[in-house]
Amino acid sequence: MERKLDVRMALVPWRQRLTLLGVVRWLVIGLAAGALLAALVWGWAHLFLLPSAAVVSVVALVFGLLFAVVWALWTRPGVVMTARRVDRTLGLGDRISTALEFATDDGPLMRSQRQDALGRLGQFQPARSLPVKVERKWLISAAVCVALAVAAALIPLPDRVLRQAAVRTEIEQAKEAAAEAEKQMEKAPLTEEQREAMKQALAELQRELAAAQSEFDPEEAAKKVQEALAKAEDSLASLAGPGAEARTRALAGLAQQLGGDAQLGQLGEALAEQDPAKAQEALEKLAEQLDEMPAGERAELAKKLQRAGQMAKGDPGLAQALTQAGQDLAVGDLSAAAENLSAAAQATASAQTQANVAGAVTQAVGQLSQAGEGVQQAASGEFDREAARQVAQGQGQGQGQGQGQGQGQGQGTGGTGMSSGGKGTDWTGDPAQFETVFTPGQIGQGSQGEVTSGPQGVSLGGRQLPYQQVLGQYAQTAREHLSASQVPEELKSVVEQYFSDLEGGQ
Amino acid sequence: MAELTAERVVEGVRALENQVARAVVGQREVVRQTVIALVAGGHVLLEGVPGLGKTLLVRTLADALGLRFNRVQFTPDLMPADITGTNLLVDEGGTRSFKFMPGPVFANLLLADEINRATPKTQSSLLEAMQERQVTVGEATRKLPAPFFVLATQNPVEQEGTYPLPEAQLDRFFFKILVPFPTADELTKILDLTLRPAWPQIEHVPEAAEVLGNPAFIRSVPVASHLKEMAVQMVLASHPDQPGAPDMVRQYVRFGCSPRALQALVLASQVRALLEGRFNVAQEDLEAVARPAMRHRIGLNFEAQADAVAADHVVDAIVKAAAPK
Repeated sequence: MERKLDVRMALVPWRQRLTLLGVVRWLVIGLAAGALLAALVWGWAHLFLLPSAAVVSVVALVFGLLFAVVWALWTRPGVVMTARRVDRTLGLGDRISTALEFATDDGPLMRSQRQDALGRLGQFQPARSLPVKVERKWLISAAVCVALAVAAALIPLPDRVLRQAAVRTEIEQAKEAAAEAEKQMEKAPLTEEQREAMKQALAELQRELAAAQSEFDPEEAAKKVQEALAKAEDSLASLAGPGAEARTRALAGLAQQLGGDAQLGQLGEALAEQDPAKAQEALEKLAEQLDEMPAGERAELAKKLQRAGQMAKGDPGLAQALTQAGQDLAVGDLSAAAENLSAAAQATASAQTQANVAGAVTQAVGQLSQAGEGVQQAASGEFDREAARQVAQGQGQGQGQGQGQGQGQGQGTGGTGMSSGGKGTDWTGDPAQFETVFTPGQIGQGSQGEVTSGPQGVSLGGRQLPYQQVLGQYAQTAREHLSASQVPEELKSVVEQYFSDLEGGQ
Repeated sequence: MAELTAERVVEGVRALENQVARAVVGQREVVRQTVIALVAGGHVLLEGVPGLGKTLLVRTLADALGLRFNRVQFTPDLMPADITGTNLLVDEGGTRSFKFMPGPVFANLLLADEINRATPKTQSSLLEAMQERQVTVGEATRKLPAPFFVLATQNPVEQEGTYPLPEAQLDRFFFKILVPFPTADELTKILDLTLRPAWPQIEHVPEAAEVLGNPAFIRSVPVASHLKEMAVQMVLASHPDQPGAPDMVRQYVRFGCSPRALQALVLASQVRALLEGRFNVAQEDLEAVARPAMRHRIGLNFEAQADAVAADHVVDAIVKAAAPK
């Protein structure tokens, strides 16, 4: 055993040297393979959108090198193979491998053989006899592959791929918008049937958006998105029922008119707060108080109810009940008036509920419309190429937000960019036709609620939309605030007139 | 007798080769291969055109080794009894009896000159002698003296009036050595030697004869397992129906080598290793002895003859195919 150990011990430095040579050789091969893979990845990214091209190419390169090292260590020569390779490399005429194999043989010839073998081996040094060198073909292959990978990474991506990246980003945002819309609709007082229909419509929208995201042609993807959004918007709009807009306006008008009134002030407050139960309770309480009310107050109340009925004509049921109650009160028929006030209370509650649903629907549709606009603009080529390039190459992580803000500052009113989830998409447009809107959940992570200070003033992270799309939402919000706050009456009428004129011209 | 060592083998063989070189000009490789076969205890078939010194080589070897030497000139009318010997009816004191008269085969070194000129029947009379080192005549079997070597010469088989040796006969030759034509320098030396007043006197080399009588020592030379595997693969690859056979074998070979080729390959490699100053067989030994050990054991087909493919070309392909990767 001791003799065998001698031969083995003599082979240890040679085995280490051969392992090192194997590692170096396989590292070069691994570099060539990894670089070739990276070049292919970049080539693919130039033909088809591959957002993770940078990561994949780096991973391919690292994997190639790691695999090479592991493979070299895994396949490192054993003692027997080392002996044979040393024999062959040094021209020792199979002395070492024979000595190793017959290491335990103690015949005189074998002793001579072993002595001869170890003596010959001792004349060589591993580092000198086995210099670190790699075959020229592998060195050339590695150099060519690395050059290919670098060239492929540096060549700018074609516009079609950038457009595809921008469209995909926008579709992703549309999906987030749909999810946010669903959350908001969940809060609306929907019936189970309406809730089911809403969920079904938005789930279908999510599926169609996902399908559009995998579409190769940006225009085709945008077309599919528009169709899907239109379908979803129609489905959501149907939840609000017919005459939703007129009803909403009527209730807003009532809230404005009755707010602060001594007899119907509670109803006005309830409508301003969009609280159907409170509105119903206010009218029912009024019906109960009719018997004890002095004649003068009754007459005044009758007039107010008739005026309220006229104002509530957007909801025929409510208008009729209020008008009838006013007329009954005017002629002194208290029981009929009380009965009609109760009916009006129910109609008010119902109308307010429907108006609330309509408001949620309007908001959801608005969000989806914004998303659709974004996709359409990206498909038509209106997008930030640098941001799209970063998205297409998977470099946007952690860079997008800062870039989006920076561009927004530079472009003033029209340039408040939409920072999209850290991906830095930024849109520009005509400030005369568009309005910058802050939509929670639509403008990406990090941008939500952010205010950017700059030389142009203060801008809110958001995106531009046609004013017509946001008018209804603005009008409703304004009316809510007018009825709820202590705004002077003359100013209320100015604001009301402003929105009435705009809505009339729609 | 002192114990045989590798050094003594080398010294004995070198002394023998030096003596042979005094009479035989050039042909170093032929001499080396012949000596290897003799040390390994094998018979040799020397092939070459007439006048190349084949007979001189054998005679010189016999002189140097101090062995009993007989020469038989094979002719078409030579009978087996002319080689093995025969029982003669003799009259001794009025009593007639058969007495065995040994033939020329009863020698240490038998030169079968132009063996392919004799009929197959006569050629076959050497079969038992070569393999069993004994001769059976009538009912009596007689042992041949040890050591016993047959060194046969033959002219190329294409000549008229010759009988190609049968495969069984060929297989019994350890080596078939091709004797090349001398170079210009060698021819000049031959001329110089011829013009000398006296032919060089060959001295006896007893240490060489000692080497020939110790095959056990030769067989103790270690052969690594991968080289044994290579030798096995070489023999297998010579058969066209074997999976590892190279394309040349599949195309040109009718039948491949016998197991005797394997024995010859390894034994010859062991001797060559010692003569090269090594104590173990190397791959180069197997490669060096492959041609003489295998060329006469491979049967080429008609296509090989038509394409002028020699057995040596096939052997080279076999060696290449069987070499460890």
